[in-house]
Amino acid sequence: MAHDASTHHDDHDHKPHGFVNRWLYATNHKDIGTMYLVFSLVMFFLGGLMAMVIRGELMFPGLQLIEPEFFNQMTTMHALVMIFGAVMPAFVGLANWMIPMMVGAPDMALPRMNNWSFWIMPFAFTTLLLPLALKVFFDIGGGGPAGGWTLYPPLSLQGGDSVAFTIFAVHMMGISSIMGAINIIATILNMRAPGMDLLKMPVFVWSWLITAFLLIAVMPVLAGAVTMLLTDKFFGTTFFSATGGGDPVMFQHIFWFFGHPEVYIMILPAFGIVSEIIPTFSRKPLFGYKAMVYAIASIAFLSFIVWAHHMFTVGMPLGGELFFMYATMLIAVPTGIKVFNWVFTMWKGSMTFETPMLFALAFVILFSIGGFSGLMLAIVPADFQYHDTYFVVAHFHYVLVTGAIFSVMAAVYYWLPKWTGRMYNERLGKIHFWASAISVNVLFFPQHFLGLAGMPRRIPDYNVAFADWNLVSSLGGFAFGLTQLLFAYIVWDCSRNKSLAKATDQVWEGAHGLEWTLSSPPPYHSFTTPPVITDSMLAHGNVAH
Amino acid sequence: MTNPNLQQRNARVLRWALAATAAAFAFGFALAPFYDVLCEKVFGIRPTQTASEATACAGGVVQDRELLVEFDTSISPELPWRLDAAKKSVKVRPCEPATVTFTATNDGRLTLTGRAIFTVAPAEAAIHLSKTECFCFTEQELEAGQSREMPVRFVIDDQLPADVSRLTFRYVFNPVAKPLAMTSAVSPPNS
Ligand code: HEM
Ligand SMILES: [Cu+2]
Repeated sequence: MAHDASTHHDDHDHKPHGFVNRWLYATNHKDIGTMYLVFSLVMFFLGGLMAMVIRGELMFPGLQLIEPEFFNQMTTMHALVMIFGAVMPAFVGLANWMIPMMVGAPDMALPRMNNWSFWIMPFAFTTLLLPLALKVFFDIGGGGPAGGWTLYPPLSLQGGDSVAFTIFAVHMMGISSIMGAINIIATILNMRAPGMDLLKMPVFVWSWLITAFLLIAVMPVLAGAVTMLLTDKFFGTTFFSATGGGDPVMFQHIFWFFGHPEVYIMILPAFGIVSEIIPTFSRKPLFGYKAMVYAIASIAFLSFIVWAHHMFTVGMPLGGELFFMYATMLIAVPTGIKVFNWVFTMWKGSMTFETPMLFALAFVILFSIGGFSGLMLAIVPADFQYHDTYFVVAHFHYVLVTGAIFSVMAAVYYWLPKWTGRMYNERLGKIHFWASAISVNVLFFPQHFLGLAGMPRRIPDYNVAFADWNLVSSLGGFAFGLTQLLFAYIVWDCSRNKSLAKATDQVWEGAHGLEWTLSSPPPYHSFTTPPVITDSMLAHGNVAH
Repeated sequence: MTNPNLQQRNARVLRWALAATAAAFAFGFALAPFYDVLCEKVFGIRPTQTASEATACAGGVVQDRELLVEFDTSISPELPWRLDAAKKSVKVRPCEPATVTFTATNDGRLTLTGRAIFTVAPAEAAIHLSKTECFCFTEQELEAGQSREMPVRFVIDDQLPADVSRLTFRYVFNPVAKPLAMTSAVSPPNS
């Protein structure tokens, strides 16, 4: 382990020299965290560009900008890029930066594997995007996958050979996620400073510990499902083909056995983030810390037994429909506990509304809207109406954009001063927040109406009856897309502009936790010797029982 | 911090997590055989069902119950064929045999072999349906331009749950034996 970051511990802040040594051979959790976050931002804009193409085409009824086939490639790629390229790497980046600093560890437990986890990602996404890029830029081949991000056979197998690229890309992303998850588990279990007991850990760390277990449990299942697709397409097996006794519905079961826990993989870290931010700006400890931890654990458990709510319409037996309906509704209980605890944390707190808090509050309200539409979808007879309409699209964008993405933005504003040592431009941050919060609702709220009125999802053209709300939604979409350029500017400005105000170590008056005891920016190698933890350093619990 | 004890503990987590990963991967594949077993044993449906022997029907045709049977056909995009039912639907009584003629036509330029896959909705009707003749029992080879009339004979038994009054038979023709990608008779839609 000659390159193990911890062996440098007697020459503080000795960064490796040269671009290749610093970044390509990176083992430092902060550098790797930064790379993940930058990668995620790039993918966010790439996926956003695809969303603009989609909303551009849907602005008016009829076909005007692109061919239906290309439209289908856009919806498919937009989802894959956003889920695997933007949201997941953003959370892994935050985990890399923050978990060692939050538990008092010098680095991640397995720094070299950490390097691998990150550097697989650019290769995975090159593979994923190659067929599309070849088609768009050189008119070679048939373009990217167009059968939807869920890759349902037989449709996904009837496209061109791009499906092979997609499958290998999914394999690579899976390997990367699993290695990241193992690293996070090892760090949390083995690297905590003395006194940082499990039930004193910040909720963000808890949420990631549980998420990491989910990743290890379900990413391999996805890998198995796409491997079966691959052999069905190229090697003559018939797992999902009825010609050989297989069943395409089985793919849906296996896919959603992965897919539903996957949506919680994208929201549990968000719960963690919000549970850090709301206490800070309410200047009160988190209400019901243990309840929060148990709620996350029970949501994670329940996420394994609700998958078939994505496939109520495949013709399941009534007993199955009822089981999955009730199990799904049960998730509202721990989720409700979390929402109430955030509200109680704010109750009678001396609240202030800096940008991270604004995003966290918007998260609580807008994520709840997504939770409610989820409950509506969980009702079997209602879902027969709503399934595969824009109502579902509205649901998952409320939980993913105003849920997961808003939490990532809240986290970036919250910890950016710690990372860079400078306060970002608060006025611009507030403008970014309000412009985002308004435009995102203009973008997605009308999609509820469209879905209830019967507009199907994944279509490039639609009945003129749907024209008005589509126009509104598209205008909201363009506004939301443009607003995010401001976000990129604010982050860039904060990391480059030396004239910005210096951040203190604690940064936010009400912030508690080990990361705030370090300087801003923190030393390249922090906590090379475990900190001596005192009561005031812990956000939850005391040192002595 | 290069504490050997810590390295050992990290290695232990790594080993344990890799084993869990391998187990989860295997579990994904194990779902394939489990799927059929679960469907049949827990829910009593056979995903890859063919007709069961109609053991019921001792009392002859049930006169006071009428069922609507609808036909739905489609062809996999790899096969340049058509499949049409002579009637869109028929009315039958439980235990009353019925015959419907289907016509398959090869519009392509090559001789091709296809096999029709049959499903019935709702699924719980499957075990009450018995077919004595069906083109889905065997492979069908059609020369370019050839068409073939194929009768389907079936009977639905009197044990069919009372709330089922409408059944849909669905036939999908797929090319035989070759994996989808290698069937080059028609090129896949987007390549
Ligand atoms: C109260 C909690 C929730 C409930 C009851 C719920 C319920 C549902 C149901 C029933 C569907 C299927 C709708 C259909 O296709 O007809 C669905 C779809 C979906 N949900 Fe949720 N959901 C919840 C929370 C979440 C969260 C937290 C996320 C992600 C962060 C999420 C992401 C999605 C996605 C991505 C889809 C669509 C998948 C697709 O078909 O492409 N949901 N939800
Ligand atoms: Cu789900």
